Amino acid sequence: MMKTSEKILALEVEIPIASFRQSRAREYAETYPVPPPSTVYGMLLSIIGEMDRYKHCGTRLAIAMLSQPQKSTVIRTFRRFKKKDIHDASNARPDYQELLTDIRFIAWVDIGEDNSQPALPQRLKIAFNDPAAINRFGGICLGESRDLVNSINILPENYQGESLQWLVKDEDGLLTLPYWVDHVGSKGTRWQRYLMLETSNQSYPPESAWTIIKTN
Amino acid sequence: MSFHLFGNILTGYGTAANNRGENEGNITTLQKILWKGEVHTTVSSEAIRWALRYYWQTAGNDYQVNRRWDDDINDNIWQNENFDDITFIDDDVLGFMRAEGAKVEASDEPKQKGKKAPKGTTTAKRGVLEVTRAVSTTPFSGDLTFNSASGKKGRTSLYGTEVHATRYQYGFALTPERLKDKSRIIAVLDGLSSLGEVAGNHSRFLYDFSPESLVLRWTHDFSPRILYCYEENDTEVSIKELIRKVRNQDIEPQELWIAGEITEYDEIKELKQLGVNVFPGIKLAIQSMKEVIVRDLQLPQLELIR
Repeated sequence: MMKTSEKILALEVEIPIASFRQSRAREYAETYPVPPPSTVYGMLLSIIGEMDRYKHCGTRLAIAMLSQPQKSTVIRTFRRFKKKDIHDASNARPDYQELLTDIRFIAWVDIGEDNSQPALPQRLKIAFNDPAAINRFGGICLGESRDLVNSINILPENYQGESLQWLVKDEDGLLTLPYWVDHVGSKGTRWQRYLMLETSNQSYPPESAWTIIKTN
Repeated sequence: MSFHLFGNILTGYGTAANNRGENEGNITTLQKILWKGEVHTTVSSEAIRWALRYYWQTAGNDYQVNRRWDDDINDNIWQNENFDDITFIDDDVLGFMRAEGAKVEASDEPKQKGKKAPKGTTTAKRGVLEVTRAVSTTPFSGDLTFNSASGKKGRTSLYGTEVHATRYQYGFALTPERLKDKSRIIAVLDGLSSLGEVAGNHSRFLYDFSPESLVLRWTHDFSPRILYCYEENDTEVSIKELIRKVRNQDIEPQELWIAGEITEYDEIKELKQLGVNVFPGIKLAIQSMKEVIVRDLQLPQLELIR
């Protein structure tokens, strides 16, 4: 059984369509099969309207997939900087992009080493209890801004998980996911290796599922 | 305190085809994605946003758009390449970005007293209106038309076009407090409720994207909970999942406006009894929604005259 307290909460998230672009993808915009911890952290900040992304460093996140998203490929226009003239035709080119559909997952948020007052899980609870009290903007998205989240709910304390696929740290794992992203170049981006466990009924995160959001 | 406007639009039934210059051999294809286990066709959110900008340009309501489409040269004519979200409605609502690498991320700017913020980070504005990808309500069965170019025939004169007879649904989100001019939310509602031309052959004049059915939600809740809520079975459209959420009190009924053909089905009666704002016509629903928005945002009544 899941235990929730002041320091931890679990959110169920549903996004109909999204693309979690691989950090190293260039022309062909591949997607990760799961939302990376850095992306989930950004979404959580967006819920509470927090603009300073360093504010809740030290928060621990754990992710478990509820669905097995299907992957599709579309062609779309990408923007790039070739010519200084902003509407020069060479600044736009068609390219392939992978999309995922039917993404449902649970994100556990733990206070970890987040020293801010109130910490991220507490601020999220305040936001859910009284959304009108939160000053935030934009649809909540995961990935690009068009990738709107349809629903987010706090799971009840007695939530019993079913068919969860845990994302766990594993140094031999085939998934290399960012937990901190540097958008100016990529020097400051930090990755970690993961693997997806087989489907299980374990509803509380195993220790290896926790990722600390930090800049190093 | 932030109000959010969420919407989910279902278009009428029509034949979608696309001519976006990307072919497989001499077949003009439609974009497709896997949706609930089957192949569905899809229209990008960029195409919908493009059509909204074109609507403002041609609506005759004195909207100032920065990127004016010139039909003669098939290109945008820019009014101000440095952008101006006070003057231009499209810069304000849809956002912009200059293709310059920022030196510092906006959220990383030091906020020390007495020091100036670093330059070069103010040329991008995230669009206030977010539009999702449109997805067909029925799977694509692979229909093709075969055509021949007129005039003198050559190697490429014979061509095929994928067509899909279907409806599309798409969603949107908007937090009006982020607009330079909050009253532009009225122009967004006007545009999306009468969007006529999205994608299709000859770039844009084939498929009518105006709503046949419409769900709007005006709320403090930060997740829409109404996206892609239409389901089509044997040509009958239902919103069972939405009804379940209202019944279970996941969505406050008073926050919902439902209009169009969908209101003719029996299942909507329950929603009406629960307190959902139900209107048979799209225009009446939009008018009612506008009145509530004007009241809640304390906008000048003048805006409603349009």
